[in-house]
Amino acid sequence: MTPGQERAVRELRRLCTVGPNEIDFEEPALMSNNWLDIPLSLRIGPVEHREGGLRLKDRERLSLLVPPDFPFRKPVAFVEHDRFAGFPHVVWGTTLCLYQSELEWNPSDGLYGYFTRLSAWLGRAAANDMDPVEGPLEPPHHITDFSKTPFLISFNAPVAAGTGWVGLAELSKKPNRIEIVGWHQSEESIPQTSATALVVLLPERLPMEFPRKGKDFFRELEKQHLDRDRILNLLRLAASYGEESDPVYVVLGSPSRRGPDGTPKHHFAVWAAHFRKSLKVIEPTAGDNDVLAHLRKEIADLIYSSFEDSDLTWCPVLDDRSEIIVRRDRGRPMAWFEGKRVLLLGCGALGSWAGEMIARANPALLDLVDQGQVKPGLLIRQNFTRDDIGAAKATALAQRLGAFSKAEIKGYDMDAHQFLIGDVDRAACYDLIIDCTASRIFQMKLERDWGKLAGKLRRLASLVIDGQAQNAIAVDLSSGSAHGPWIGYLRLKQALCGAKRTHVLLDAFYSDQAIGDLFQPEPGCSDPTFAGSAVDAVSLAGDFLNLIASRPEQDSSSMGYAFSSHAAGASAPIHELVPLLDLDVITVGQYRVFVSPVVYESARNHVTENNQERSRRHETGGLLWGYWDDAANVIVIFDASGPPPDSRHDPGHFECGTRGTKAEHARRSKNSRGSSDFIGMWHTHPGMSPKQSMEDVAGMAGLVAGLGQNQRRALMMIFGRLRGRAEVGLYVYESIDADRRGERLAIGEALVALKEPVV
Amino acid sequence: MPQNFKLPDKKAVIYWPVGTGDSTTLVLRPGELVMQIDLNHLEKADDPDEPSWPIIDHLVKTLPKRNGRPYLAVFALTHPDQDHCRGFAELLKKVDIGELWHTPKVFRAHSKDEPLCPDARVFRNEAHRRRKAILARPSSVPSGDRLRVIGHDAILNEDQYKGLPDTAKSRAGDKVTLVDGVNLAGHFQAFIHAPFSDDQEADKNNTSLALNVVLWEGKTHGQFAFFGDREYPTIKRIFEVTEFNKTNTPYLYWDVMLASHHCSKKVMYWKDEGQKDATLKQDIMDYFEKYARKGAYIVSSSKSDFTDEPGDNPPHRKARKKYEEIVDAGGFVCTHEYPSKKDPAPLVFVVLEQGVKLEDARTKAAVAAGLATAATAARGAGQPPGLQVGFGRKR
Repeated sequence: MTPGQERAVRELRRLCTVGPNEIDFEEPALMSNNWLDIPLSLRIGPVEHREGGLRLKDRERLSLLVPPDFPFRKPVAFVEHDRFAGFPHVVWGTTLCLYQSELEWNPSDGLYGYFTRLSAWLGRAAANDMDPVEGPLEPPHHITDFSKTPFLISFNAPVAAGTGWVGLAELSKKPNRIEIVGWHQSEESIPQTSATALVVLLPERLPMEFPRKGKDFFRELEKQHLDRDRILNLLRLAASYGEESDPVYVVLGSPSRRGPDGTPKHHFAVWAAHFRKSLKVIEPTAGDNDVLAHLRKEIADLIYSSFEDSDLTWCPVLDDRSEIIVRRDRGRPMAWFEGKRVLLLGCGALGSWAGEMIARANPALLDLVDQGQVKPGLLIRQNFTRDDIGAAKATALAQRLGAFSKAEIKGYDMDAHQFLIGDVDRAACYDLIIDCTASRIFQMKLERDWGKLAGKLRRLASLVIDGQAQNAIAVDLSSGSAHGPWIGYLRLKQALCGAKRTHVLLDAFYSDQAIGDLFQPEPGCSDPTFAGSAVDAVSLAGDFLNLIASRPEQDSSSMGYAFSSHAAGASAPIHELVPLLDLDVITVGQYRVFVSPVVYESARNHVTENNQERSRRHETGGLLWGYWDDAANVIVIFDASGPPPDSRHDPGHFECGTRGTKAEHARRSKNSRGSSDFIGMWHTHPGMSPKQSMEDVAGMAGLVAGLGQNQRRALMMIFGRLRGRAEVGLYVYESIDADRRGERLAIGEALVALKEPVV
Repeated sequence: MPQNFKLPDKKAVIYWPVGTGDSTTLVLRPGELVMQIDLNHLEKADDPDEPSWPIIDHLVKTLPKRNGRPYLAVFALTHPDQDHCRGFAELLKKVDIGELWHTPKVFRAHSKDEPLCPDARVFRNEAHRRRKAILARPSSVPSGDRLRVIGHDAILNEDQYKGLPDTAKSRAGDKVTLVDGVNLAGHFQAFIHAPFSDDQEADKNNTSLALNVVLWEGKTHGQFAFFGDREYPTIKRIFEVTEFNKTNTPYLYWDVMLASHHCSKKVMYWKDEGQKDATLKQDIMDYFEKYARKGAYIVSSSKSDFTDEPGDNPPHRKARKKYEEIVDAGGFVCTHEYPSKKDPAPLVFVVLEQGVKLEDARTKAAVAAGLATAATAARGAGQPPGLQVGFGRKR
């Protein structure tokens, strides 16, 4: 006896001492395999018995087999009678299956835990509660020949459990598996290059333990109206499919399982039968004479009786059907991706890992876009192999992910912007587009062209990490977003600048340090990149995916995220969520001008002050602060400040002062890290239309012209109200050309009604 | 214990918690005819803290009344041992007993090795009184004087007994439906298994009256087996003899079997001649199991102090374990464990059209509760002790 087995006997003795009427055991015997066989006698007592439950005796005898390495390996209990045979969780009629997995076995609790479990097992067996309807059903047992190539079943059964069906399985033969990749009613729909196997789905359950002998098994089939002739016919049919060198595969289904929701499902077993050639010749033909017909019948009889007398063995079957398998990421955010159509732009340090994580979540479609090549230096942190070196990233990654994922995965070796804009209808079909390009240029171009995509894309999320790969910022734009990720990031930056605790993030992304952290991996001939490991990239990409996948389906707003790596140094991880509320967007010439609600609110407050200090007829105004991007053709107005103290207010006239404005500009620019600078001026037209006057034009022209104050460009915003109709006028002034003869200005203008008046 | 126990208003058999001894009450015609097989009324059972029930007190309260007095149609004594007739003298005073059933062993002279206890002597005196009354007026024996001597014995050929009419005698193989002069055919029948005619010289235990009582309710019936204190050879003989006579084989079936001799191991562990130790006799267990009806019960009319120590009197744990192996879970019931050891109560089996039903007062667990409790106890408390633990030098 090993020390572990001695421990088991000691524990049994103690159990018998405290429960002399409940547990008793006889002299243990060491078996040839060094397991200890201990005959037990257990009192069951009054237990609740329900119809269909195991009818237990008041005292049950069973044998406990204790392994040599007990308690690290659990014991096995079996009975020597057949009263438990056929009952769920009784394997081969005698062995009690108490534990679903090793996780449930607690070595420290030894036999005390084992008997607690056994008592519960017996109680549930008596109450017929071994396989509650809300849970999965224990699959039947059959003799499996593990030397055979396993079958992998990835697709749900073609018909509901309980429905009889005869058809064909399309097979994909791989070195390690034969995968069933489709069900077909007839061979017409199967590609000629694919192997096939006959499928027979039985309407009724087979016994919990499949009969071992062919004769007994055929008897079970006969109960389901598959008599000798029908079985032979099916086998003959099966023999006509598949390769000559292969056994005759018959995929057999019976409604012996339940899905996670309790609904009946097919259990699949694959019988590999012999006699392919013989089976093929038993089919009678019209030209048969009596002798030939008799010969065919004799061969059929011989085959049948040979099957009857032989032991049936079954191929290993590995189930990957969604109707059976409970996802191991059940309840986790990534489960959101199941069945989704996803476009991943950028297959580099972030995208290559993000692609892998998404592909494992079983999306319906995953398109990968990148026009980069796999270089050896990338392997340190990108999801490629040495064999991928020199290959296009997108196609190499698609091939890699396709090796394990059931999703349709394609790689596109092309520019991300071109892919999106080149086929807007295609872009509109994705449930989610993920931008892992980390490319400012791509984002700016996308912003410039956003008008083509706005309202068509369902959702777009973008991720950027810092130069040390310790922090990330991301935007998640809903289908109604008026802007693209470029402005999304700008707004996120603006919000982070106003928040506390975020200076680490701001320094990481919007400082000299942010640039300094980048480096050229191949000095002189490569783009600067961040310094980070595969772990850093995986960590941040994973957090990003979890964040966007955990958004409630009904949440249609856009969101910005800023977060740090969970183990980023000594400081507490940062995690900021910034709602990106809708902005007014007004097209002025070639620009899309976004106006924050803060602008209206601020202007309204200054007008109120003016009306109180002076009169409603006096005009007032001030400066506009925001961001002007003439590459992306967007202007964002974040705020409006009041009139500088040296301004002049008169009825029908406002002269904007200058005192303190340079300091104000410097302060705002610093605080916003360059995202909110002076971009123009505003003033009011009380009781008038917000159309610009000649004086307004002259003022703005003087402001932007190189001949004047040389601002090059400026925005004028006029709030007016005529006959109760509140409007705002937006005027974009740009100096677009100048030579010795003079200067040409472009003026874009727009008049928009206001929901709430400012003046 | 509750003071308001009432006999059921249906045909029923009640096994009382009366310590280690037998006391079984059979309701043959509800509210009218009740039969008692054996009696073990413990004086100390009158103590409210004693779990055993003072059966006579309860019978007096719940028996049907005739002329204002409690009336028991039949009292059957399986054999004149104290644990089967303790309290009979008191019962005789407090209850009118219509008819006595007993074996000829009661009339036999007893050696010093096998003396009769005082209650058995009272029983024998009462049997003699009735015998004389019957012999005086054999054609019209009134209730209160009736007697049924069950089993053949040479003593019955002696002068003082030979005049007993056939209505006062039964033998093995007879089916009795007459209860204190009332024919209950179709409702009640007692099949006499034993004593056999050649039992007369055996000890009291092995001359015990053995009955298979059948109670009908409509088309269904329940069967109740009584073996007194018989042991392996004579119980086995009952099965062999009854199987030999095919027409009687149905009377081997049982819904409830009173474990012979309060769960004695001598029913299935027996030392044959030449053997050093008793060994398990599986054949008797096979007989029991073969004739157990679906959902059958075995009742051990005993305290719960099961033991396997050599020389100990029943109840025996070894016997219990063997019985437990042949009935469904919860089917072995000790009268002092039902529904709990702390507060035992009578086991009431009623006979319904659906069959025999135990009005089971036990909590039916969702787990094998005893097993789980043992595992918990064996695992240890895992918390600080509830009592002080002393240390230091011995004072």
